[in-house]
Amino acid sequence: MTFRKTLAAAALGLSLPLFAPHAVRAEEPRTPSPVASSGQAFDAALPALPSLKEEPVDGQKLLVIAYVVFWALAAGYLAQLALAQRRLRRDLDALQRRVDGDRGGT
Amino acid sequence: MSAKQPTDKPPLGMLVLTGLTFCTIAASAWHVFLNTPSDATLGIVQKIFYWHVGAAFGMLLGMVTASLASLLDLVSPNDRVDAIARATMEVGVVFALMVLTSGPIWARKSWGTYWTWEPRLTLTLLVLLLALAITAIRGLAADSESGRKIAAALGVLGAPAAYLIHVAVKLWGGTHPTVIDGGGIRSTEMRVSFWLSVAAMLLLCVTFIVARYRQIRIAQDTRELRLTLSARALEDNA
Amino acid sequence: MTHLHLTWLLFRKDLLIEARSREIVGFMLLFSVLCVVIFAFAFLTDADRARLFLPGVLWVTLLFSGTVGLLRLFAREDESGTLGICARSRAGALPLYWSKVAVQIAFSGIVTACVTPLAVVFFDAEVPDVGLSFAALALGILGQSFVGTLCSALLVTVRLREVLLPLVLYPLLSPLFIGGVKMTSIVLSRTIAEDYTAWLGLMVAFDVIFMVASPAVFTRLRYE
Repeated sequence: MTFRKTLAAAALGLSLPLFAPHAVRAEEPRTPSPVASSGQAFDAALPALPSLKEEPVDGQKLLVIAYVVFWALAAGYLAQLALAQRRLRRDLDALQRRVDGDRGGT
Repeated sequence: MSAKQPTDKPPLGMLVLTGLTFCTIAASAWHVFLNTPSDATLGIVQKIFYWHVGAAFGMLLGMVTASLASLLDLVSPNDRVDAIARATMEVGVVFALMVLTSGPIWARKSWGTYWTWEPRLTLTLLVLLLALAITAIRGLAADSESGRKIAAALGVLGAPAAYLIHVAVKLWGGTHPTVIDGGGIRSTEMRVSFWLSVAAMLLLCVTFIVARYRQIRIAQDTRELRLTLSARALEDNA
Repeated sequence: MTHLHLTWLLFRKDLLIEARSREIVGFMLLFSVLCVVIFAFAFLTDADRARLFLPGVLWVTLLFSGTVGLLRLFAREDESGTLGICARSRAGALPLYWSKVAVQIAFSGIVTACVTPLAVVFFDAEVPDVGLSFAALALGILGQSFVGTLCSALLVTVRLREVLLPLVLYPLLSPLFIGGVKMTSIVLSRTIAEDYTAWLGLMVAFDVIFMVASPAVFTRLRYE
């Protein structure tokens, strides 16, 4: 079961990037994004910092990063489940041996 | 032998659920990337929005269920309820992490900055921190009675705390830009993508919860069985 | 013996022990003063903006020193193994809870009363409305005591509780903290122009909700 799950996750993870180039071909021209406004009195008390984030960002790159991180987290949890499953399997086998031993002994 | 012998073979329902989840995710991915036009202003990065919101729904499902299960466990302690509380809390944490990583990356493009102290983001962050602490305590206290009680108590307290945090950060972060709801969706393709992705994420959430719940229940049964065997061995030797 | 009488006895016991040993309050006080000094080094680069930092510094110090007190709150009961006995007594766990809350309020109150004037002096601030400042701090101490006592009791048996208590407590206390800092900063500004009632309401709501919820959860737990 866990091997199947891992396989499913891997297949999913590897197949999704195949869609990306297809969609990227239809991308719109990038527009500069508005800087977040901040109206707090505290900020007003400080001198204005030179804005470091005015340059436009590559939407494509961001999408891939977001996407990879997103599914890596899901896959990570899946891996954790698989590990726990393996540990359980080991415990169950030990228990089975013990039960059989008891039954054999009495 | 009082406890039935635990087995880790998954029931048919579990396999069906996993298969359904896989298909829905694949379908939503296909639709998002191949059938939906990119957003006019934000460009292609807006596509992460579909799964981001879906994950938020999953997180909500996990956290709310965990809180309710914790309350139930505190009122009338029960192995099954404890397992539900634990499983849903863990899965809620995973989905919260997914929300809080995909969100800022999207925000970098749409707001020009990775993080603003926007009410919803701040609330999610604080709830995540609390849930992580609870999960950590569970891990440390292993399967002991005290670990379970602590997690239940904190899970219950987390609910009013989350409400108060929501009020507090809303008052506090009132001047910052707020998250755009799904209300900005115009075209039908976008709407289909949106709901398909939400469905996919919710199914993934449920699959994780059910899998984890089964694991915890098996571990509980195994422990109980081991205790019974030990007790019997002691009796026989005495 | 009524619950109130029992609560008073337990409270008096803790105060007497503290008066003789002077360990907890002394260390809390010293730690708070050090916090304020460190924050002064961190933020006093520009004298004009010093007083803008005071609310934050004050509340962080309150939070940290309160945590120090909370960690030691059930220490004696834990060391002597009497926590379970107290909780399972005929009077129930409530007198124990309320006496510990009272102890925490007393200790935090003393420390805050000493450190606040010091911080005001260090950061060169003025306090136009002492009453409101006092109200804000009092509400903060109350809320921290209600929630913190419960969390401290919960974590008594857990390994690494010194690390876990802040991890658990700070997210729970965040609304109180946010409200406290905002309200203190409004009160400390020369003209109390901004509306502080929303923040006041938030803190009162927090205290009321947890004044009910914390003891309810406390009594449902089983202590070893």
